[in-house]
Amino acid sequence: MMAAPFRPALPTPEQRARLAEIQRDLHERLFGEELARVNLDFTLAERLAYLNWMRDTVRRSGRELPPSYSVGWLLEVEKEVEAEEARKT
Amino acid sequence: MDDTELHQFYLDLVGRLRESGVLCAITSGLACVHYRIAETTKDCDLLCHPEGFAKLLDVLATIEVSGYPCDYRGNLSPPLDARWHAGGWTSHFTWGRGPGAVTLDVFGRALRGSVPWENELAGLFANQHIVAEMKRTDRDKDWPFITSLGVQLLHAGDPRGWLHLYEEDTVRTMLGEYPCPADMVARRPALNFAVSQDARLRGALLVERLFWEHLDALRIRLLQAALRPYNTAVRRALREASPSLRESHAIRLNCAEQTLAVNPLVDYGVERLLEDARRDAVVGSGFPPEALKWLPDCHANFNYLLP
Repeated sequence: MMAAPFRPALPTPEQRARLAEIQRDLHERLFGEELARVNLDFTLAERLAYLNWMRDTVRRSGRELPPSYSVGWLLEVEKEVEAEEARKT
Repeated sequence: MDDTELHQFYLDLVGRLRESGVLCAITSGLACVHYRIAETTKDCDLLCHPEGFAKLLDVLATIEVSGYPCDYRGNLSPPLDARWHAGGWTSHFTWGRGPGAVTLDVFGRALRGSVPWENELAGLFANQHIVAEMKRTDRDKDWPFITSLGVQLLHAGDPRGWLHLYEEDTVRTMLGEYPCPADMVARRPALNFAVSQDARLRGALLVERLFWEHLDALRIRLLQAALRPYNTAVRRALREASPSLRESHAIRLNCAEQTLAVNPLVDYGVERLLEDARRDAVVGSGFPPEALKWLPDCHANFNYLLP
């Protein structure tokens, strides 16, 4: 006889509400209230638009955005090599 | 491109690569945005199986963004070649220059990944476990992201979430919601203090984080030292030249073969690296020597450096 399909127990509405509350508390503590809203209430498109606005605001204020972590340390080497070559010439 | 277009560009790229048989997945910051943890990066970190590198290069060579062809990023990028990626190097591409440039950072190996990332995919993205392991860097801003990813894993029924909680209150809250299995406690000694309600939990979480931060700082120092001669060689080879992506790749391969150590971390010694980080995190940060026992055995997180 074929085994019955596995059906994981879904959380009850009360459990879901509790998990959502925990998640919101955590985001507010770790990222602040505004970003908690961005993370938990916004759609992906809204979240991306918000990030776009954040970066534009930084640029308009004349500040430079830091390079991504993956290349930041490589850029440091590039700058050192550039400076060394400039000294030599 | 605004963020929405950029996001779609990367999704399309991964979709196209997958259709060509290339095993790849988006990780790091963009994966966090996908997982509802907003991060301001607009660069895409892509995990790509080294068997797919040739096809990836083929695809990149055909894509233009706003009229710009794809190129390696400056003189700094190691070549997209399995030999160097096996040593934890990464390759970096760009379309255009300056703030509007579209960039792609390629990882042949999941740095600090304790399990094969190929088995840990969620749609076009690496799952939260891989993203969280890769985020154990020496950068402050990454740690709340890790904790948040850990909570998501626990909510989804994946007990490995216990390995990623670095905030005391969160650990205690989660203990009220989910059991902490013995195998997770065995993998992460700091959790002993959580399950036994011991006040040393805060210190244990902190020293563990310091350990990972020191490990990453050491990794970067070793790679930076190894990169200098390569960077100089590429700079000289590319002087006043505007090669195509394929030509640039050939030049970088040639320079790497002559000047870039394949695996500086293994040359230094993984054991030595771990020992240095343990010492810096515990003794160097003023913790008592017993704190050495609070640190996890993270040899599995360096398996990516082994053949």
